[in-house]
Amino acid sequence: MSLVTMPKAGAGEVVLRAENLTKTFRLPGGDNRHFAALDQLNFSLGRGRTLAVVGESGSGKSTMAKLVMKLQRPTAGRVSLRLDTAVRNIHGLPARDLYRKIQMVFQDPYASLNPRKRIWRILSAPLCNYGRLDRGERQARALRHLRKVGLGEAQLYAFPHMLSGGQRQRVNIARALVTEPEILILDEPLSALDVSVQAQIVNLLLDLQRDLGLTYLFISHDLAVVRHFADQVLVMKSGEMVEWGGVEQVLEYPAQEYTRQLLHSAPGRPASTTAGRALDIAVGDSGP
Amino acid sequence: MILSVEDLCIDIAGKPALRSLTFSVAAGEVLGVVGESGCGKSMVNLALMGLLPDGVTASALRMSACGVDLLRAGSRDWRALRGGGMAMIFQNPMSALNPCLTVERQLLESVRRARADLDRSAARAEALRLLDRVGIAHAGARLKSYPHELSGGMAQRIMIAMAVAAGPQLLIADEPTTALDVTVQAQILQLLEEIRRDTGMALLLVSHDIGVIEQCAHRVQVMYSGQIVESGAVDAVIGSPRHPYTRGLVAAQPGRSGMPPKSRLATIEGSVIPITEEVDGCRFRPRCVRADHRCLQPQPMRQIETHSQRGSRCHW
Repeated sequence: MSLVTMPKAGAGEVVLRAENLTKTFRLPGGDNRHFAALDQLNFSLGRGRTLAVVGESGSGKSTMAKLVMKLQRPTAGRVSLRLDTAVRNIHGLPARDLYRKIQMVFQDPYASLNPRKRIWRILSAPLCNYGRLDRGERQARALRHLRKVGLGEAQLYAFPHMLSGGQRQRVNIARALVTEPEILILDEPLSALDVSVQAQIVNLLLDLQRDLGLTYLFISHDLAVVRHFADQVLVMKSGEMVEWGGVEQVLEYPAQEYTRQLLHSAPGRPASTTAGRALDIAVGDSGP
Repeated sequence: MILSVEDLCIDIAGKPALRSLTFSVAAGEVLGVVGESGCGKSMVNLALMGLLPDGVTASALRMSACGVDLLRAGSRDWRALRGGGMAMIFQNPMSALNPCLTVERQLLESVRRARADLDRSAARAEALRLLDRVGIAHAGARLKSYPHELSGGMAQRIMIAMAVAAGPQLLIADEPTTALDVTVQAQILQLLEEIRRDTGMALLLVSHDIGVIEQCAHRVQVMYSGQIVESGAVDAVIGSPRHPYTRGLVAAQPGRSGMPPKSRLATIEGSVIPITEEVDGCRFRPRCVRADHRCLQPQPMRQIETHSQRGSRCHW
């Protein structure tokens, strides 16, 4: 494992810091073999900034999100969170305090909403952990957050199947916002969406960040979106950090071969050697 | 022309869904098809392969592939055509392979159908050659694998090996890399390009990713809500799109030239109209920023420049 310096947050103060974050799983079979899904990862999130995490499947991106969300326990290392008064290890922090600060938006908007619940119930469910609210108050809060994501009363009483993919992802974002967190973990929030809808969601996330000062941990495999959307980028491979830095620095002047390989693989680059149109082809009589 | 389609219409449960598609693919050519989900891309592929589900019917003025009239093809013609004439690969290689059978069983099925003259060991040798051709290392050991032991990229390579076993003249690739990582995607696109170059087969490449089409295709047609709305050479269509939908699609791509970071992306407001829904006039009109009274009339495909084979279904 190479020694990597602790990434420092950008302009904003550090709101979340992961140190030596490690997760290993025991492999099946009795011979005590282990697989390191995440190996001594260090990173930090600056307030109001976006850190993108890129890497192929199996590189440990989702494991990282689960550890930060405390959905799994790290084998070693820690995640600490800045609360109003102190910095605390999330291990040992009551869930109620943790999830007021940090929430997650999942990849598949078709799988992450309960099909049997109306939208207002999905949105207000997290509030049940934060005191007793009557039905009217819960609906009012649900509507307020629905409006923040560009939806409204028309969707309040709908079931998820009545909404389009883009609308569902808006509902997912609203659900994450309902506890008024400071940090959102965005786990490939665009990959299940069509291009024109992707752009709508990117705009929404940019607006919300500007208006609410949100901090994003943005997991993605789309370097074009990362380039547009993030401040910093962390490149991962096989559970280890390959490279970390400002978006422009890493994506324009990658220091590591693996990053260059990722950049080169992105489709549509004119320099690519696979371009079929470079070959001269006689095209016949097909009229439009 | 390997494939020639004129005025193809597809009805779903009696309702018109795909409307008047006209296109063709020449030998060795890569035709890209771009469109968002629900625009009917996959339905066209199924119609071409004669695989439309019950309740879905196709009609056309002309539809021929590899010299066979698809409108009059009987089941014997279809059997001859699939594999040797046209073959198809799908989006999710994992669900396209049978999880209960080894790679050997599945690949040999394609090989033996294509080459009835081969005995058992010659067929196995041919299977090994195909695996080698699609870049699978340790081909002998891989033949014994079950699909769950393969990575997504490897599974897609095996699907390609099965598809090209009979040397098709046209390969229909329906979102072949959508389920794959970006580095694996690049390898698979490279592989398809190599096979196309070596064998001269034509490729109908369907993708929602403009980047993929831009990289691989010679010509492109853009589909919206059951229609082809723009077609032409890739550089022309993506470089200077004419139809408002194509314009919106290209502009919605992040990272296009000179866009400041964190600026708002151009979007197409609203969502795609379901293909079976009737719309007065242009089907893009409800979402179009330039719509006016002329758009209440159905828009025919208009040739943009003479001899350019470029068309747009818009009066602008």
